[in-house]
Amino acid sequence: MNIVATRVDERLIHGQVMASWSKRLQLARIVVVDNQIAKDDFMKTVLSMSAPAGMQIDILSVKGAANTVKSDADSANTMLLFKRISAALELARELQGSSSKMAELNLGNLGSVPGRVQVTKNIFLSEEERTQIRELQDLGVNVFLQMLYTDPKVPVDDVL
Amino acid sequence: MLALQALIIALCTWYAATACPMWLRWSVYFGAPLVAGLVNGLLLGNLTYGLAVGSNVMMAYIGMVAIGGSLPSDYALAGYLGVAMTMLAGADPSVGLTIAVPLGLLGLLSFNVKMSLNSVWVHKADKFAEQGNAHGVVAMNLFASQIFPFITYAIPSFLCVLFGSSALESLMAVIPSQVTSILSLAGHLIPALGLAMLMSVLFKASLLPFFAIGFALAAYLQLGTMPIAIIGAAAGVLHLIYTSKEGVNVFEGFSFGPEEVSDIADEAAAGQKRLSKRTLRKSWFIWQSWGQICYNYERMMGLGFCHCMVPVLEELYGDDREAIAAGLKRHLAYFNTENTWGSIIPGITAAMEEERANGADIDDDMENNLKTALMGPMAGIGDSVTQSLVKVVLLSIAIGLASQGSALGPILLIVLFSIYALGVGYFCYNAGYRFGKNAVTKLLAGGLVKQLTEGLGAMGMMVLGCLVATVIPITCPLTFELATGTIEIQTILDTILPKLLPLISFLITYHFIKKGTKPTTIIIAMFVIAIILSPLGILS
Repeated sequence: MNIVATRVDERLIHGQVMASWSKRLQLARIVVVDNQIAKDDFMKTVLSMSAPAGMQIDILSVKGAANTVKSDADSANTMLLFKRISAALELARELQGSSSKMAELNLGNLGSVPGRVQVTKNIFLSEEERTQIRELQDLGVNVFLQMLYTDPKVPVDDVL
Repeated sequence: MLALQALIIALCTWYAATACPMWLRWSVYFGAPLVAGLVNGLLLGNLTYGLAVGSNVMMAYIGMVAIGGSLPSDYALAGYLGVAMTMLAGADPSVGLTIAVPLGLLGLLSFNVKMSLNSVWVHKADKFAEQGNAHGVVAMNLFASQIFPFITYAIPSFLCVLFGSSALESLMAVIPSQVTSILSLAGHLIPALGLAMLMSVLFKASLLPFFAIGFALAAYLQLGTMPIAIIGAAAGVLHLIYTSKEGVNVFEGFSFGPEEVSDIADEAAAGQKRLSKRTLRKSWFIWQSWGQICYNYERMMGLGFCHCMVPVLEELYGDDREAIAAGLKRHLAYFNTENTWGSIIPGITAAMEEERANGADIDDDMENNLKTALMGPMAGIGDSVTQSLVKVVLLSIAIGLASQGSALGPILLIVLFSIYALGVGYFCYNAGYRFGKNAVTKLLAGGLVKQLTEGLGAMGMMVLGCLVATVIPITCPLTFELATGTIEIQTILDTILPKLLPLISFLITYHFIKKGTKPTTIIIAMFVIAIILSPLGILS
């Protein structure tokens, strides 16, 4: 699998992903990794259908994604997209030690919900998520913040 | 007199920036320079001048899109204040951009401060919701939300016009004509940036022929944007018919079919609570008007969403303050989508609220999960259809008319964009209410959105080709004196391809945009190019 971006975005496939990232990176495939959505037929339909023509959308559980990432030889420009940091951490663990280990993770959008504290204008994190970020870093994943493609990459350590 | 003008301009800036209903904001904010050309032209008593400045400034902004709460430049300050300052200084319309662009960038400060501070009112609204005080929540959304924008938009604009315009006027009078021509050349180049950004959004290899047709129609036949938009619309439909697998059934997706609607009437007989048509209309209209009037980084459209649920909750729960309090609280959560197509979500939520009030087993989590699940995909559709397609097509028609000195340009923009927003929004809200969450799959499965995107994309590309040929007015003034007569380089260029220089500058800019160069870097590069090439007489 030719992964050109790995991103956490609570709103999943929305305007920023479609208009900014997908255009700039010439994405042909988006793999949404989420255990709950992978079980939810309605959401799977909505996500697949709201993508533009020519974009392949896969919605996989963490285990499913781990297998696909390891075995798939597809050369299409692909974005791994997570709704939650915990799923990214789980996948990073699964991929640890394999030839396709997770190298970086972009925190795109995490909204304000009870229990989360504002970090930047569009990133809100809970204590638990901060710990998960540390664990990702311990696995050697470069965690950074970048909302749009044209925005600068901000290392997560600069804001935590 | 100047103080009064300053006051009106300041109020316009503030109104377009935040205070006006969202369905109107599409045109008066995203088309701010153009509408400002009309408003300032009337206000300052020179409509032709106003429209000329307005359409010039508008060209730089035509391709910019604001997605997910991020903004490339503040249109209200660039537009209303920028056009006013240019006119008060008596500057050439092509210099207008040099004045408007910095104001637009400074305006991002106004935007960011407002977006950060407005969270305060959401916290106040939380308290009112706790007490079941719907009026308090509404007051926060409608009125409190305007305090900070008034400070960050109206006051700076007022001061800028009052104290800045005479300074700018004397500055314009003393700067040498060489500098003016540099600024004017930069002003002629900058539209290439807006168009290149637009191309990066619209680009699809299969649509390139439409770009070529649009360019040729404008460059060789000198057709205006209006006829090209009409040809583009027809071409878009033909493109759909000839590329869709089902052949002629292109517009099937437009209707939901009568058989699917009929089962609703039966339910009403069961004596359960039903939302009246009036309440639904009210809720829809509040959403489309005030859904993002208190836009803020913390909850985005959360407060606006809660506001549009007020009539629904009040009708369902009447005097039951506790139930209303619970309803208000659950709808104050984080929410962010696109206002037009996103109307389907308050529609679905209204239906869920109704079922819930009738005893259905629905809890806060279910409602919230569905709202957050749908807000992204609907914004993805809305942002690309509304901002990258509809806006562009309408703006180019309007710019075309306004640059010919017709006030019809901005007026048409306001009327058509409002009809689009209200029409699509009303359809989506009602579809959401009638079919619940299945409305989304119906809407998408009908292929309506994909067809709309493809057809408008073809039309957009054709209009874009036309714009490249018309809104980047750069020429080469070089001449050589020979024994046989004078050779004008521009005449030679015209024989190769009319509008060759605009096309080249567009393609170069697009190349850098594709490479990921920042728009600000490109603007600076354009000024550098203007500083070098204008005095040498190579470009003007």
